Amino acid sequence: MANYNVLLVDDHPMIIAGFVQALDIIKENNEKFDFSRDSAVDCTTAAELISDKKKKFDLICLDLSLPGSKDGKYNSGEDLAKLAKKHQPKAKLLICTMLENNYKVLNVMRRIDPDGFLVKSDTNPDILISAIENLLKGKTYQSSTVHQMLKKTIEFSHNIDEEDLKILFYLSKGILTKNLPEHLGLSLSAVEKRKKQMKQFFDIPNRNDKILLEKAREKGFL
Amino acid sequence: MKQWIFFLVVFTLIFCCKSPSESTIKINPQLRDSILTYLKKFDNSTGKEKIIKKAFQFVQQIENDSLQIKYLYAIDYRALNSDSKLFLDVNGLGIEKAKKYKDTTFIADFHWSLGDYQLRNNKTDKAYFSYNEAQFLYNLIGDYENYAQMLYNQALIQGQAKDFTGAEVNLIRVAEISQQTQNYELLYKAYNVLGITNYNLKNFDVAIKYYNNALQALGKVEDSDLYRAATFNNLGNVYEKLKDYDLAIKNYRKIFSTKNLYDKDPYLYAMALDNLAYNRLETGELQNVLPDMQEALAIREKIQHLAGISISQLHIADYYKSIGNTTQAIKFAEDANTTAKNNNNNRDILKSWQLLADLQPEDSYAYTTSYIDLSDSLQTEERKVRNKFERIRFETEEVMQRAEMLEEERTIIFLISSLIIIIGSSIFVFYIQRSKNRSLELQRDQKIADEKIYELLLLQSARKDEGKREERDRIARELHDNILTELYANRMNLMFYKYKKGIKGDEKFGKLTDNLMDVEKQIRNLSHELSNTYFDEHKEFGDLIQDLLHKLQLERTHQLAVDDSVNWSQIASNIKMHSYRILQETIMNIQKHAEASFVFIKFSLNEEANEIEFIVEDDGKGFKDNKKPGIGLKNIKSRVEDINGKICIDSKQGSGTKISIFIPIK
Repeated sequence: MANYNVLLVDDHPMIIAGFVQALDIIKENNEKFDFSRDSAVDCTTAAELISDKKKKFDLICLDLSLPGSKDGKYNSGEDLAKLAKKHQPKAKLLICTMLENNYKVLNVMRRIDPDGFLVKSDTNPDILISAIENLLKGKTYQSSTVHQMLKKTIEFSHNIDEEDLKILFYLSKGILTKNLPEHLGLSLSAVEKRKKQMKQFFDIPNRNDKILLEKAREKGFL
Repeated sequence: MKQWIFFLVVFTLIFCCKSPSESTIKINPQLRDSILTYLKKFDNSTGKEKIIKKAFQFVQQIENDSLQIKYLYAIDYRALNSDSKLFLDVNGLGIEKAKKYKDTTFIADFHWSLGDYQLRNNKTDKAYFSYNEAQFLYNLIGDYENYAQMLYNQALIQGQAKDFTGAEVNLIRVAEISQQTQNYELLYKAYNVLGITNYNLKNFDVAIKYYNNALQALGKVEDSDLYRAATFNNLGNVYEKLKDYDLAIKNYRKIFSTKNLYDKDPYLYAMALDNLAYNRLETGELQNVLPDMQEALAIREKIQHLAGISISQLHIADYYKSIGNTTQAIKFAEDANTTAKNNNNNRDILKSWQLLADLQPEDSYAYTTSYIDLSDSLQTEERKVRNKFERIRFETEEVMQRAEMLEEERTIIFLISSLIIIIGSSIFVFYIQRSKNRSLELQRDQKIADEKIYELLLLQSARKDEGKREERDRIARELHDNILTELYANRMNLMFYKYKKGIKGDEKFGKLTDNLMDVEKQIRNLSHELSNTYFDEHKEFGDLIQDLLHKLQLERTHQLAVDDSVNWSQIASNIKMHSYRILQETIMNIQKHAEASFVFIKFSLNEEANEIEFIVEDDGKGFKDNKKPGIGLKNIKSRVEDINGKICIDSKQGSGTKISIFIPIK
């Protein structure tokens, strides 16, 4: 009989309810598991709970897009994840989010490296349950979209670093190359150099940014 | 008023230019020949009056004024010696015509001959007036030689009328002018008459000085013998009056050194002979005095020198008086008196009366009374004449003053009108300059406005894009964050509900939740696409070109191919602006005139030449090379010039038009 402390963070009560049902189902199916749950719908409460030294969480389920804390310190699940790494080092992290774009997923994977990563639209009760079970057993879990994406990017991921990703991201937002230095803290020549390098990696002609972005999207960097 | 003056100036100029051309009018050659023949006949023959009348009749037929005046003058001085009525007719007509024709020289010439005519008829005041007119006119036109001559003539008349002061003033002026014009003969005459005048004024020293001046002036005159002799005679007269008879005799003797004096000038010869004899008598020398005097008298009687005769008679009377032969003295004195009376020679009448009074003491009272009466009346007469001269001179001065005033007025009008012209032309120049500046300013404003419009176009397009993007972002976020999450949460709970209730076997339920999952995926993809298409949408200038083509609806009417491979973000905005306008212009030209079915537009970057190649080609009817370029084409050319580009228009009638523009980029 193991009692697990679980923290559920999502701005949507319905989704927390979903998690609760999933935990209930796990408990029903397996008598060994017992859960004590905490939940938060915003960053402030979540941060308080995470930094509470009395609490020892075994599993933290985080949504990425959350209403920010009042003091402005925590604005997303990502910030909370960083906090959890610090205060709850033993807790398993399960990111469960609506996927916006590959770039974000890649960033999260690089920065936080969570134990589980679910894209909400992939999930059904079975996936949710198996993800939780897997994590509690000490395994990792990625939902199918995340899995495929990581597979796609693996080819170039060691060549494309975070700055490159940013460049691609801003370009895709329609920002002109000459304006990129304002957003990146890089010089224009550095930006051009990186672009040129990426084009070399993707093996595409030098001039065309459009093709670069198409290729980046194809390869899962966007 | 100003305009009026301006026109006056202009008209004056026109007339000044016109009048000389009139003198070329032809004259009937027959008429001219007959006049000339008569004039020649007149010069050669006797029976002059008839001939000159005939000539006058012919001259009157001449229609050309200037020629008529010329011939009238030719007749005029010939008629001077003949019938006085004819002369007056000719002269009157001449003056009238010359005045009408405004030929000042001829007016003056006619006045001169009229003056000569009047003098000949002893009408001294009228002569003086005519000479005065002539003198005034010659002075006006700057003919100083004749001006001096007229003054001299006037001075002679004044001298005769004993207006010595007036004469002296005129003569000094004559001397000045003739010295300037180097007319030494006239200079001599002036000095000589000045001498006479001063002699008459009893300024004997001054008279001697003037006579010496006269003799000096003669040094430069040819054939001066007679003049010199006359001046010696005058000098003799002065010394005689000074009672320096030896010097007088010396001077009189000098006269006889002139060769052939008697043949040349019997008047002078007789005068000198008589004067010499008289002076010798005064020195007490009696030898050959009477024969000399008698010879002089004989000569004077022979040449009918009336004034000389009376003097000779007086001198002879003096001679008889001095030798005591009173009877003969009285006889000659009475003769002299008669001669002088006949001749109206007042001087000699007076002298004869004086002499008679001396010779006949018993009758001296009667003679003296006559003498005094005459001399009184003479003085009155002289005063009258002098006053008349004075009046004439005053009137002339008045006329001259008026002329001067007119001259001044003319100068002022000229100055004012030229000032107005200068001001007018400078205002004109100023206006031209200002309108030029204004057009330059307008051009500059146009350019600025063009650039602003282009910037606005860009801005508008950017704003449009921004708005689009914002709206798309908003929709994407809404879909993603709210609807999708809501949908997901509900689906999830539905699924758990199924789980719990154990309705696993209900396939319909499973399908429904799966459908919901599909909807979620679709929405997610939609949201994804919405937020990922910015780059494609944001093409900047290429976008504007597409917008333009769309706006002009070229696709509807023509088959259109556009090839734009230029990265416009690197290109200066003025090039883009001009390219945009040029494209607009060419497309409008194509739509209006070309009747084309296919249009090809190409923008490409030639990296080697560092220039943009911009080609618009159509398959329309084209145009002739020699056709004048329209405003559209001119605008295109000026735009191309503005960005230092080159334009090449390749068009033949019936085989389409290709406009290639090469724009250098930095």
